[in-house]
Amino acid sequence: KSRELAGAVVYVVWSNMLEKDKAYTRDVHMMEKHPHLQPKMRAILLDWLMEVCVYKLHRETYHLAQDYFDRFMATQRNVFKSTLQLIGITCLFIAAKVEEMYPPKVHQFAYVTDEACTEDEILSMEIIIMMELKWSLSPQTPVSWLNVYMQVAYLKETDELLLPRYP
Amino acid sequence: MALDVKSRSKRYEKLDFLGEGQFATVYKARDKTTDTIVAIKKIKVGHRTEAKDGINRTALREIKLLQELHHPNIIGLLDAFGHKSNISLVFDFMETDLEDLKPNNLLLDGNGILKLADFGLAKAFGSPNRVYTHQVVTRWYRSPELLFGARMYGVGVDMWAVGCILAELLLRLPFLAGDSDLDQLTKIFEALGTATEESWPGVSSLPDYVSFKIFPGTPLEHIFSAAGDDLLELLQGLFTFNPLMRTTATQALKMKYFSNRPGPTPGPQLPRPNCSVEALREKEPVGLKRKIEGLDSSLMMKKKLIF
Repeated sequence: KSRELAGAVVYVVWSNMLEKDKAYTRDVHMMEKHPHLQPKMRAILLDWLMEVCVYKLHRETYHLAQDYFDRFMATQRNVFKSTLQLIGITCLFIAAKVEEMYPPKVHQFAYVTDEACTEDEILSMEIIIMMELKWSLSPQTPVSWLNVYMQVAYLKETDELLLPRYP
Repeated sequence: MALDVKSRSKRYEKLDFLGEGQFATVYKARDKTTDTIVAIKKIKVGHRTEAKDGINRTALREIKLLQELHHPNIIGLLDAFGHKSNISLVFDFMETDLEDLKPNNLLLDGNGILKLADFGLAKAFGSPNRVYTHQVVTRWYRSPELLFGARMYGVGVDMWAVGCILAELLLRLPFLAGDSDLDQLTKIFEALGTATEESWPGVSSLPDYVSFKIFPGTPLEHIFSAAGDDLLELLQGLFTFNPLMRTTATQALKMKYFSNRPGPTPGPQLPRPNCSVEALREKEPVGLKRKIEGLDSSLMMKKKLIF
């Protein structure tokens, strides 16, 4: 059955999503590579990134940043907590460029760290993260799954388009 | 976290200057590792405010998509490297010149295989109904829903562009060459007849809708006098105003035009230009009228994290 989703064939979208999800692997033992860090530090960082996103950035941007952070950390060893906020804000900086129509400028990302990170540090970290992630920047996120679930559910009742507007 | 920029740039030997666009300079180069000819697209930096923001965003989106797309008709991204904001993309070398579909972005390789290039604004189709920017396609290839400011759009915008390219191949001239967004709509309606609520339900509710003089339109067989019925049928489907009724790629491929004789000329038999590549074209700047106030608004608390 090939129900159409704004012109896209559902099963093609679906198999693309599954394939992509397989290609973006996360390392469940990521934290073990960083003996100086505790899991709650990751939680503090992610909570803060969510806070930064709330007013001006899309929810998807947050989820992208979280994915970049986790995959980047899996490529590293012995990261100290002193660089954690820099890695986090840089992941958000990259995610905003990928996802936002009008991404904030680097000085604004530096600003929200309250002088913990400078613009130069963010720009240097940007290229490091990009290389480590091998420029793979579009994972499936919880938002993209939800988006498709909602539309597929809606299509059962009518062929009209769903018009979601996310914050 | 060592970088391999120096070794990466040493891997390629610059041979020739190919072209320059607004966002990048393109060189022909030899990959010393594989001894193949490649095209290197060096993204420009130093553009006033742009350079301050690290990796060029258009380049970043192009890399992101090309990394994921592997198709015989899509130009292959072989490598990407950079330092600070300086990014270079390494592509298959094309003999002719490649989000938006227009003739300048269609390249032919040495075997006559068509390749799409320039994905600076392309969007992965996982979330079809996101509110997108409507300033996405070069004006002449822009669909009426984009011109009327629709924020929800789907693959229909590409099919409209495909129609414009097909028309241009028949006419050897751009079919609808508007010099402003309003003029673009006038050109569309003059040629195809003015869109009405009847032919396109909901058109008058689009954000930038303005009513137009009623043009009757010219029958397509008069505009494309050399086109057969099967081709006219395809054009008619692609130039449907209502995006939900417009012919999709899947539907188009099932139309008679693609099965009727004569069949397509095999790639290697296609005529090819001998001249060197114009791998880049000037790209219209994307209108970014609205400015985000930024993260440093009064609502946002800045914070240094103490772990």
